[in-house]
Amino acid sequence: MRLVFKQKKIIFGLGLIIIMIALAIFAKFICPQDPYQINLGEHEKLQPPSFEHFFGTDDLGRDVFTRIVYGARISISVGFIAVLISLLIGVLLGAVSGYYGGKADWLIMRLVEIMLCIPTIFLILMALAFLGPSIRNVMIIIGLTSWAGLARLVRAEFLTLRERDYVLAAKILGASDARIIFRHILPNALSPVWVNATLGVGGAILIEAALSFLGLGVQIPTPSWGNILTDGIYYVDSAWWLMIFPGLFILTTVLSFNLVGEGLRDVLDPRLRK
Amino acid sequence: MIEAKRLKKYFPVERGFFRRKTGEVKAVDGVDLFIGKGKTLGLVGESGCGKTTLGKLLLGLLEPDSGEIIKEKGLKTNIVFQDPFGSLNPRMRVEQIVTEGLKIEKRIEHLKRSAERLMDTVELPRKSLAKYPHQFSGGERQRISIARAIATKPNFIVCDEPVSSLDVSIRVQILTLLVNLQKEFGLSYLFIAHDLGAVRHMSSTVAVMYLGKIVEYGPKEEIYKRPLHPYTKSLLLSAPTPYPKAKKEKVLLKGDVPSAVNPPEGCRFHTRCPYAFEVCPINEPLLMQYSTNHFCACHLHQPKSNKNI
Repeated sequence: MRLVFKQKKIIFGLGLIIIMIALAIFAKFICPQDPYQINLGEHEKLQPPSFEHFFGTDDLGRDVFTRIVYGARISISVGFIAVLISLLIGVLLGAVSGYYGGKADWLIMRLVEIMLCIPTIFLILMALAFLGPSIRNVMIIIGLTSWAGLARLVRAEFLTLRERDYVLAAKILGASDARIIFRHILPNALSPVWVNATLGVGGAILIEAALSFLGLGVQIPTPSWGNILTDGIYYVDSAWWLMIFPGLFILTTVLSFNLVGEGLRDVLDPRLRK
Repeated sequence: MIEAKRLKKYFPVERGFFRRKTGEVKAVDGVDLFIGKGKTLGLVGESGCGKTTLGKLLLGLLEPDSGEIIKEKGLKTNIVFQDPFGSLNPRMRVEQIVTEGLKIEKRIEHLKRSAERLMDTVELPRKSLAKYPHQFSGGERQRISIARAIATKPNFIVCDEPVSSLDVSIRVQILTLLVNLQKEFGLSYLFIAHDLGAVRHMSSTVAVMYLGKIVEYGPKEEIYKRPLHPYTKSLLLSAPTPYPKAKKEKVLLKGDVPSAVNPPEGCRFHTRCPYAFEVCPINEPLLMQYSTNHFCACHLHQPKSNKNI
């Protein structure tokens, strides 16, 4: 645990993530303005950054800083919930596959291969076309399409751990399969899972932004980093702030999750330890 | 107490995409043995000769391909492993490790006191219960392993090379602890080792195993004073002895252990045996009796009678 906080990557990344989460939670206090407040006045629309509007205003005169801060709520919660769903599915299927082997393993691994064959973004677009775009659907669909790698990872861990002597010892004591899986193998299999999940949060935020940018994710007027970006594409040459700031927020957040993920990997994988 | 009859376990060797069976590892190939109450059978042999497989068969962790295991009613088994670093779950506290068996058996009253008593029995301080395995040395971990094994009051324990990976100075302590526990609880042991050194300290009876078969079997004194099989002699020669000046027959082994996938025809030991003659590569010697309870499978000796163990 102490090693975790010696890693500069982790401290830096975690610091940025905490700032983002704080922005999301305390959005109301940080931005007294209403993210939906439209101001069509000639001096309110498409204003460049100023003291009054840190990140300027958009074509409807809404404060971009406020919308980005409120958008952090959407983006970060989509990231976490999607990864939570994929963790539940991936860990469970991977555990069953690796522990029991045989037919169950064969079936699950073929399913994983199918999932990994189809480009995720097509799968998501197709599913969203059927279910209709909404925040909830985006979370669920990203979760449902990103568990395959995790399942493989967990399976590989289970394959090696189930042969450990302490697992045999538990078997001799008469431990049930559930007890062996959840008490003996899973706690020891989690290190690579945490790394993968952390990187996964960044990935999910990126997918959400892409979907919202395409209009298939979070629906306007609810602000999300992706759809603020969409608003900006018509004004690339005149109002740069509409694209730069949401883009920077996406970049920073994904980068910080990746930094934490990589830092965790360095700490948890003894082969990489110096 | 526990008895094995013509026990066999082969592992298939599969190759290629279609998993064609290309051979078998004859890990345990027709083994008979008997261990009485409060007795220790020392099982000796080189790595890969099937000792651990035999232990796992007796514990019911593996199903034998043929042969049978006859267990006395109410026989309760457990194991102490060789590697004290891989045999304890690194994420569990010692208290959780040693009381797990009791929890599984739903004997959950006085768990704390049982755990403390176990620590006393294996001579570890009681405050060890709150620690994690990585905070202990190899010898201490082996004590924890033993505490886990005896927690549910078994009467038969497989000790799979329990001291092989320990410092020589620690070995005697662990062996003495095992002997004391045997006296206190009337335990039976299958004591597996790869040399005859530790077995001498522990066993009443010794079985020598080579490539899945028992080649010599007998009371400890007989095996150490009058070894019959050339393989036993070579093992004795390689073990340190308290009588270094005693005259010993020099038996030096040629080469390595042959592959267990396709063991040599005839006597499996003939490829390395310095005394091998015409019959050895052709006929497989049977385990035959030479004196009271002393058995050996070797063409060099003329048996008194042909009887099974």
